[in-house]
Order: sequence, then structure tokens, then C-alpha cells
Amino acid sequence: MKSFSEQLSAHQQMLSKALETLSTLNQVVPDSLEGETLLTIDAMQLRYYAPHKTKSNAKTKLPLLICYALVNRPYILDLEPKRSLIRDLLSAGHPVYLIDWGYPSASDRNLGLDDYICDYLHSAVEAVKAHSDQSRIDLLGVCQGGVFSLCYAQLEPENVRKLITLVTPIDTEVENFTLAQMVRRVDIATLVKAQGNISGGLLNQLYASLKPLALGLHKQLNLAQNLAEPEQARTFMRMEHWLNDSPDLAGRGAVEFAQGFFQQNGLMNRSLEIAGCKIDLSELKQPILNAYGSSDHLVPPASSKGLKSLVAQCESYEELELKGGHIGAFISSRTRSQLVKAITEFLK
Amino acid sequence: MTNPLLEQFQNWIKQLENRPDAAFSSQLAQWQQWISKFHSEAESISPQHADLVKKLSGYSAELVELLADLTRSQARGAPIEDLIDRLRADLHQFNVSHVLEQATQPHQFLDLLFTLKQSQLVLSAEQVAQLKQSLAQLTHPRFAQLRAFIEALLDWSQASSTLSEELDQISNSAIDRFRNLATEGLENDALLNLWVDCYDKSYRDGFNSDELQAAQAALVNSLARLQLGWQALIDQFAEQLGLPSRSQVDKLIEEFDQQRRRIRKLEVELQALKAAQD
Repeated sequence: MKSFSEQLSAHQQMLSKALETLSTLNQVVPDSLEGETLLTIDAMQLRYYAPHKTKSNAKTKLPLLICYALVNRPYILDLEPKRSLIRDLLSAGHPVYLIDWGYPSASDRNLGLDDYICDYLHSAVEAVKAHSDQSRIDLLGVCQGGVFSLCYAQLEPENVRKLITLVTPIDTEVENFTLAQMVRRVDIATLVKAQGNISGGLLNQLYASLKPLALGLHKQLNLAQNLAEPEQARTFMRMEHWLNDSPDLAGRGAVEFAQGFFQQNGLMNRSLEIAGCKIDLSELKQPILNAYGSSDHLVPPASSKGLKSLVAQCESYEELELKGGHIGAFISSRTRSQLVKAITEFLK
Repeated sequence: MTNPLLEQFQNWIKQLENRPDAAFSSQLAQWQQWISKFHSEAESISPQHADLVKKLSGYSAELVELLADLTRSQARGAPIEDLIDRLRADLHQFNVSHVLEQATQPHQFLDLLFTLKQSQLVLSAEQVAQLKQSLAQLTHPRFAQLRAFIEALLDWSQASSTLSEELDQISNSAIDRFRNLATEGLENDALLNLWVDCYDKSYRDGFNSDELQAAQAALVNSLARLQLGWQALIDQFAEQLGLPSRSQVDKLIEEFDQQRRRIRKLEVELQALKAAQD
């Protein structure tokens, strides 16, 4: 066993190495595909990415619209060429469309779930249909975007052929759902009255506080290890860039989601309402693929798996367990390959 | 968190500080002290990892040097108590500086990582007594907003204490868990990993209980009320000074939103008309 002094010296060497690596790097920014912007409404943009045509995927696939969460930015799905769910889907021949909700400003504080789902998401779906000349699309919802996608698929069933939910929270009363437990008794309406929009900084703090040591001190102590080699350092910096790039959450939408979904367990209790319509997922008929991370600390697997009990009427229901956490589930090369394979098979 | 309104108000207070009324000046100074509690050191946190690594590297070199001194002194048979004290103090400073430089935790979690509770996260007993005394004196209806603010401040202080107590219990539970799992011969890295795992599991388990959920929510709720109370006071002052108030800005935002919705409705109707023509 190394002495304390030896370990400190080793750490010192590692820090020097990290410093040396950092000095060789230019500014690190996400290395994402540009895409073609098809639609802009307020802060929301719809982007299109053309599929790679090969002999093995020559048959035209239906458009796949990805609906990301309002929190954090969707470029985590295409952080860099080696860590890109979008590029992998394109390689598998899927025409990919992505909703980027943008950054809500102070004047967007009155945007509610009805605006996001019945206007922005619906307009995006219509634009995808028009662009692809198809009458239906396939919808992939990530995290909160999965909740939006489920609601939309119930409200506009004729527009959605198949539905994929990825690391999506459903049941907010399962054990170890720390995020839901933290939100459960918060007077979110007063918080929003005080803050207008919920700031991205506050949301970052909330996420970091879910595992205060692992995501705080421990991560920082391992900083030198993560910065040792240039390529590894670039990936680490891109991840950090993404983690700290949190848009604010529009006030009214935050209240409606926190109260209707989290506090009232709205999907499970069938109490959630969007634009005056009751959300009852038992009405869903579309085939569903529900993918979750086995060690997701943000959305525990048990929460995602709650969907099964709600969608008894759907044509088919499949679950896919990915070995990883909330982000690792779709960013690590192993799980990404498993996920893309399952999606391609499911969307046949 | 830097709040432009708070900064504006602080500047305004500074301008009034020179009034000849000593009691008034002292009261203002007290207010400034309280206001400053709502400013974290966010400005001093560098987003550049290079800065952090450089600083850590510097600390690390100093610690290695100190350990070498310690070893030499011990070999010579010289007294090493002072060096050990210095090492302890330096290590503590290392921890504190490190966390403050790059901490991602909300402020209420910071003192979990400290060996000394230097950062005052709640009001002192003396400050609480002063506030309660002020509350008893401010009975006139024109002080209603100020009273609401002070009450919110006291609630926040109480909520901070309660959450700290709950978090202390989590620390104790994590220590028990750690003791049960730590075995002799584990490398320091493995011990650190074990401690992180034990703490975060105890923390997660803690949130399965009503007590911790309630304590966490009470803190957030009291902070929101405090912020609202503060904004009401600022509004009052702004109106008296003829400055635009937050409620006026809110009203403008409402009007802007109504306009946006009207335009959006027209856009949708226009699109439907175009589609019908095609």
C-alpha cells in the first residue's frame, strides 16, 4: 500500500499532466452536426438530419422525431462524432428530426404545457409530416420529452405511428426517486412567483444535489484523471459544457409540470390535464418501446417501468434495460449500439 | 446568486449612509450585512478548469513539501506538533478552498464537507433576537411588508437549522455505514470511493423519509417567500423613488405575452388558409 506522501506525489504528477494537457487544448465546444432548420416558432427550432443511405438500409424509413426535455440542451444526443445517438440513427438509415426548445426568456414565463405540447410539438409534427411527405411519424421522447410524447400520442393518435420513450419518468412515487421527493412538498407556485422562470443555475444545483458527494467533491477530486489525455479531456470538457448549459424553465410550465406530474403523480393517477384534456395513457394504441438506464439516479428504473401498467390497450409494449445512468444509457458506445439496434428493429 | 435589484438597493443604501443620524446608519449597516448573505461567491468561481487545476497543483506541491519537512523533523527527533498543526490547517484550507472554488452543491450542503463550521449559514442567536425585537416594534400597518419580510427571514433561518439537523443525521448514518464496510488495507482511493458511496446512499435513503423531504421543502419555500418579501420591499422603495418597479415590469411581460399569443393565433390561421388554398 502506498504511503500518504507517495499518493500525494502521484496526485501532484497527475495534476501537472492535466495542466499540460489543458495548455494544449483550444476552446472546447460541442462537435455537433449542423442540421437543417425547418421551423422556428418563438425560441423553438425544428432541425432535420438526412439519413446515410447504404445498401443495407436502402428502404426509406418513416421520419423519427426526437422530443427532448425542456431542461438541459438536446446536443447531448450529438455531443461529438464518437458519442452521438443522432449520427448512429442516421447511419442506421433513420431520417432524424430534432426539437430544440431553445432558451426561454423572461417574457416566456407564461408558456405552459399546452403551449409546448399542443402548439410547439404539434407544429413540429405537422412540419415533419409535410417535409417527409408522410401522414404519420415515429416519436422518440427523452426524459421529460418522453412525458410530452406520451401526452401528444394520446391527444393526436393519428399522427404517431410508434412511440419510443427513453429514460422517461412515469411513476413519481417509487422509492429512491430523490428528484420527485425533493419537489414533492415545494411550493412551486410561490417559487415561480418569486423567480419568474426557474433559473438554469438553480436546476443545475438541484441535479448536483441529488448525489452531493459523487457529483460534487468526488468529481472534482477526479478532475486530473479526467483531463489526463487530450481526447479524454475534450470529451470531459464537452460534457461539462453541456452540464452547465441549462436553459431556464418557463414559469407556468414549471408549475404545471411540478404540480400536475410530480406532486400529483399525474400520469399514474390519470389526473394530468393538457389544454383541458385528461391524459389517460390507457387510451394509447401505438406500439411502445420503453428504454431506461439500469443505474439512473435521476429517473429510477422503477419509475420508467410504471408505464407498463398504464398502457394495457397499446398494440405492443417492450422494455429495454440499458446498463448505465441517465445519460450513460444513451451516450456510451455499448448502450448506444444496443439502443439503436432495438430502435431500428422496433421501427421496422 | 447576484441579483441586480439587490445590488441597486445596496447602492442606494450606500448613498444614504452618510446621513448624520447614527442610529439610522447603524440600522442600514445591519441591513447591508443581511443583504450580503444573499450574495454567494458565484462571481469568484472560475469556470476555467485550468485555473482550478493550477490552484490544486500549487496546494498539492505545498502539502508535499510540508510532509517532507515533517518527515525530516521526525527523523531528527525534533518536535513536530507545530508542523502537524500546520498540516491540519493547510489540509483544511485545501478542502475549503477547493469546495468554494468549484462547488456545485447548494450552499446548505457545503458545510457537510468542512471540518470546521466557519461559514455561517443561519442567523446567529443574537441576530434572531434583534429581528424578533424589530418585529415587536414594527406594529404600524405601514410596516406590514417589512414585517412579512422579517418573518420570512426568521422562517428561513429556522428552516436552515432544521435541514442542517437532518443532514447531520445523514452524516451519522453514512459514518455507520462506512464503519461497517471499511476494511483494513484499503487504499486511500478505495476508502474515498467508499465514503462517497456511503454518504450518497444514506442521503438518498434520507429522502425516502417525510422528515428530510419536509425540511428540504421548508428551506426552499421560505427562501421563495423571502425573495417575494424582498421584492415587495424593493417595489415599495422603487415606487417612492419614481423608479420602474418589478410589478410594473411583470405587467409589461403579461401584455407582451398576450401580444405573442395573438400573433401566434394569426400565424396558425394564416397557415390553415394557405393549406386550404393549396
